[in-house]
Amino acid sequence: MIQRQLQYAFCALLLVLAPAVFAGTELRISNAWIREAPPGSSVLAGYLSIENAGKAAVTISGISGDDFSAIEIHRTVIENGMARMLSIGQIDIPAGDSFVLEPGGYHLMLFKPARKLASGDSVELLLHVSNGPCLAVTAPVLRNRAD
Amino acid sequence: MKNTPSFIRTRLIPAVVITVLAMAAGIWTARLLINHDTGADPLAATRFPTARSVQPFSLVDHTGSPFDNTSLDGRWSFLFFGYTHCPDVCPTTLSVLNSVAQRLQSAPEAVRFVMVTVDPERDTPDKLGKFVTYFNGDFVGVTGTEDGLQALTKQLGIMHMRVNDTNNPASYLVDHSAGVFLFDPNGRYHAVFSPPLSADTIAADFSEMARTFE
Repeated sequence: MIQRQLQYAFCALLLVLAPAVFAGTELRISNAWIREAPPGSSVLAGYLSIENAGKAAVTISGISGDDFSAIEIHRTVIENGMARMLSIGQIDIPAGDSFVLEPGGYHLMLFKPARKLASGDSVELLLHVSNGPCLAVTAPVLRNRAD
Repeated sequence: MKNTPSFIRTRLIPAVVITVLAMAAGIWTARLLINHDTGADPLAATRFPTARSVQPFSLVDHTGSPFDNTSLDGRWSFLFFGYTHCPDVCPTTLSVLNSVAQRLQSAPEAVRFVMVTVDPERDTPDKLGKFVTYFNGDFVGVTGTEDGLQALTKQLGIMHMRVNDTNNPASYLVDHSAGVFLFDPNGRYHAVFSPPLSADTIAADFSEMARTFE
């Protein structure tokens, strides 16, 4: 817990210093949303698109958020008709590339929400960028994303 | 030069005609063969030439009523295998199936949508009922014993496998078949829809299969 708070403090500090220190990195986040958990489910799925518009490759080493006990990056892989979930340690995005987390593919696993999250709520997520500043993302909770 | 028109008439024209005919025949044959190889079924779903009968199995639905092979009779059934602790594929599939249900509301055929849990240990009837009816009040959740589940899944070639999380034994995952399985009103295994699933495709394919069903 203390380690996480320190991580947050470090992230927050970097956020303040970011414009001066990391002029070269530029991440653009879009389509961030959290799927409202059906009754009885203690794990939520989160999705977002990350575009690396900077000139250097970027590594996202982890994602954290105050509302959850833990957040992991997973990938749903369908092989021979079987759906399997793989845990992904980090996300590498080359310069000029994008990385998409979407239903049925890469997604965030958000464990044990600290409060009841329903459609209309929003949560704050912090993307830990190993070679750049942390990035705060606000994701709305939706029942289902409109097609 | 005098011979040229004659040469064109006697040799070149027949040669060209034969070549064109041979190419046409080749293309025609190739198309026949290719169509033959892929089965030429216009549907995205995989349907069996002859629907397969389902051997007896014994499970329970989320209201506590028995759910066995006779429960598949009387109307078309869409079966999906999943579990409530599955945050990505299962809610996504149930959302798609809800869209299919909306599209088929005015269809002449009666349908039912069933999620069979591959995690009977955690998915009690009550828990499963709350989960499936969140997506659609008419959806049915089915659970039971591991043996009861195997009796259904084995004969359909449906697999599921528990994957333990070493850090957190209580939050294990279950790898499972991600298709949607269609049973006809005689309770026979008729077709399977494989991911990625699209409500439009499932509804259109279903209507076509129901139309040609005898």
